[in-house]
Amino acid sequence: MTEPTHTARRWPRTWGARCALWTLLALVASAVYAPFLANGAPLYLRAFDLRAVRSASAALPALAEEWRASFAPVASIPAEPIVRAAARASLELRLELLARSLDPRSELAAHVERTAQAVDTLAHAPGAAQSQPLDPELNARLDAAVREFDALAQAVEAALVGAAAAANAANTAEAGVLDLPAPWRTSESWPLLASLSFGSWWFALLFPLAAWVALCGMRTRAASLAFAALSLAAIALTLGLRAPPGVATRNLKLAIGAGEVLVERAVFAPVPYGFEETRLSEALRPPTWLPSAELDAQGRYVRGARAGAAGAARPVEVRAGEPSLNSWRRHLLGADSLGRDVLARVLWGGRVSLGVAFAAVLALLALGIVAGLLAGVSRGAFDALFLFVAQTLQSFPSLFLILVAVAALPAHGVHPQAATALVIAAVSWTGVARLVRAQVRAVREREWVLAARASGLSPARVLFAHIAPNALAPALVSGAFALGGAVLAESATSFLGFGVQPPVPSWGAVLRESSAVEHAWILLGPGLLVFAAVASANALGDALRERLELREAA
Amino acid sequence: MARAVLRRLALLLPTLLGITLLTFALLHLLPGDGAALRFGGEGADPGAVDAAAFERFRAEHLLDAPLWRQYLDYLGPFDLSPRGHTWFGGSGEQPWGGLLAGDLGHELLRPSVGIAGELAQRLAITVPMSLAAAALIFGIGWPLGVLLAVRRGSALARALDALLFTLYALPTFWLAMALQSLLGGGGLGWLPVVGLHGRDADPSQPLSYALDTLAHAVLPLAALVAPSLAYVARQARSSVLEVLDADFVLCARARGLSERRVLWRHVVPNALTPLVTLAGQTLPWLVGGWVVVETVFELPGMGKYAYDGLMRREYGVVAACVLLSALLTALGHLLSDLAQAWIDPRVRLD
Repeated sequence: MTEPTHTARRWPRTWGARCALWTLLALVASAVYAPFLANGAPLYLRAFDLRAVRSASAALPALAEEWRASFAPVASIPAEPIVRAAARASLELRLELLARSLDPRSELAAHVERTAQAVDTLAHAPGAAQSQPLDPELNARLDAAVREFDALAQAVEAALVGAAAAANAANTAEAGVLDLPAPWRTSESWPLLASLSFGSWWFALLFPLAAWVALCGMRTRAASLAFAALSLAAIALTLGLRAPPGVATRNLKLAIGAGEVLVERAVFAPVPYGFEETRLSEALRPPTWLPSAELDAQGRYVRGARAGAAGAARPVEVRAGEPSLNSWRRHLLGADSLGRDVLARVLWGGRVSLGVAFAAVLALLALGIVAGLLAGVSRGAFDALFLFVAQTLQSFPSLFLILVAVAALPAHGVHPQAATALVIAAVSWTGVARLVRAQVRAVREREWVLAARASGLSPARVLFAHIAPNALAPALVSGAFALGGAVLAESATSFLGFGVQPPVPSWGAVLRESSAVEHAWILLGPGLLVFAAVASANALGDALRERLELREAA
Repeated sequence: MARAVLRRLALLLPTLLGITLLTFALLHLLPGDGAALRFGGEGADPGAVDAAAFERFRAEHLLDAPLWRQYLDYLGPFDLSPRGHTWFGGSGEQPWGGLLAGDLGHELLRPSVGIAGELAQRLAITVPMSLAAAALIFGIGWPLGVLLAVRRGSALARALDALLFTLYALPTFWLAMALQSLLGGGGLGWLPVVGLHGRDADPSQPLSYALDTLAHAVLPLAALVAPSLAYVARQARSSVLEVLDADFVLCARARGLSERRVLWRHVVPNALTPLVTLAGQTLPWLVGGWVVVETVFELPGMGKYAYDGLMRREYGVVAACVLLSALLTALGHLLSDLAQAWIDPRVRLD
């Protein structure tokens, strides 16, 4: 009588398995940190936002009038305190923005400060919180405050004339040399970090923990503590790094190019492109380290097959933070048919491809294990039903079923990525379930199960504490193989035009761009990543199986 | 044996029922219905549609009927539409229809095209190609697996192992496109990459016509076969390795049998008969693979027909292709079970 074989607690230590594990971790890391690696928004920006200051000052008089109106009941409808608070908040936002862009010692800054204080005192004045008609004294103070805003707007307007001249000068001067006139100063911001969602923060912080758990084996208590700490940190960072007023993260590069944001210093991500940043003048440009990708100033190809065809060529606009026109690292993997950087799309595409694959595997393992356990212990109708469903599902070519179901589900309000993951799981859980069922049947009559049953434990406890742990090892192995299969299925679905919808990138969707033979270079990057993911998942599965067989033989 | 076969056939019935149920369910989940497609799609001007014809079409195709009625109509052999069998309140003009009557319906946008006839034409391409693919997969995969097991540890076996591992992890569509770019007109120009026949192929000259077809079939077959071949070879290898360690092999060696006789009389039969079931499983991969390969190489086969049907919202076509491939697969499973029972007397069919 051998010891019951428990699920492998530690990863296999062979060379191939280590390689596979590290590759898989690297792929997941590139997907998790894609927003930091490829992003159109700068990581750090020290700049003067001319456009935002101008629009803030232009909005001040109107906003002040609105705020004034929120105090007076209109046609016997009492003024709502919430309307007043909103009007005040939008005024204060503009004032804060102006204050950030001004030298604190200047006269204009003092002016802004005075106005902000006037708003604050009026908001807390006795009688201001009520909704009946105001007393004349408060009314007069309100009028004065509104006039103050008009004066402030005019003063800002006058001071901005000098800043606009500085903008023109900065456009011709080198980067980093920005000569702003007296009251203005640059302000710092972190546009990339501010644009990240809670989910992105959470995964970025969680990943090191997950990698540590995967490499060292689960250490339950430490891991769960770290898990809690990291989710707290993610929440704090998301709340604390909301976009500061006036720094719009979208199209920041365009605003810099147009001279609306004057940059003193900007640090961009290594790949300074967003995944949906189009640039039609560079459509289907080959990888820029190839000689055939060289362009002249008019956007015409210098050599290669496309050199002659200059009909549609137009000059390429090199935006802020991007490598120069013919730099070898401008588009390391080329650009697709809309001129989007393939490397940026592949990095972001990994989030979709791997996310869908991991979600599908989790779902199919859960479904397969539960169904397999239940079918394994029950003898009657449930087992027959299970066999019927499994037999039916296994009769369909899985890719066929996935394609049709993925085409059908989004019309019923299911998110396309979730639909893909769900369908992959729903189509391929039967294999895991059959394995678990067979294993449960093999284990069910063993001595320790009989002993557990004889000692009066409940059937559920016998199933989950004594049978399940011994039946799950094959499920784990097939889960590793299912990961490879899910990556392949997702990429095939997206490649055929179902699955993710543009402009969302996934590895298969990027491969769809390489429709013509002369653009075959697009195949390389995404193809390599799909291959790496599938190969490492399969290698992991092989290693796990070998290890389990060894354990069973021992 | 005959009784066992009959029993196994009877077990096929619920599976067939499940297949039609799932196909029917998928058909109903797909967005848009036949009437909307037939009368100009979603973008059509509602005023221009002949309302009477629209309603007549809906009634004839039971689009407003309860689902069970639609399913019975779909399944056959009775036609439940207003012109259908008198048992179900029809006029009796057209009593039979549905799957059991062998009726797959007509395409909506080209009403003169019967789906069954079109599918038969498509299958004339897909079936021979699938058989060729299966022959290649097992004809190469099994001997390769045996070779890898016997020569384990040698440089050759390691290189082949790495190659198979690579092939197994490559997406079919990627391989198809890579072969197309590498060997087709844009690359080395060795082989044709689009369609099944050259533009000037002449059917009246059988030899050159056959050669032309063969040249066109090489790349699609290679793209389709490579991953499955790798899988089968790897399975065969591990199966042979397992049997090589068995006691009866030790015993055969101890009796002084030659290594060759041990291998071919004792190891290979025991290792490969369990893999007959793999042949049954290969069928769904092949059919699924054809969707991708036929789309990339623009072969007018069943996979391409299904893909086009899905793109054009011809759901009758999609349903017919899904159903047919599921039936073929179920049949493949049955045949491989029977074959295994026939080859290996230890397997019981119950």
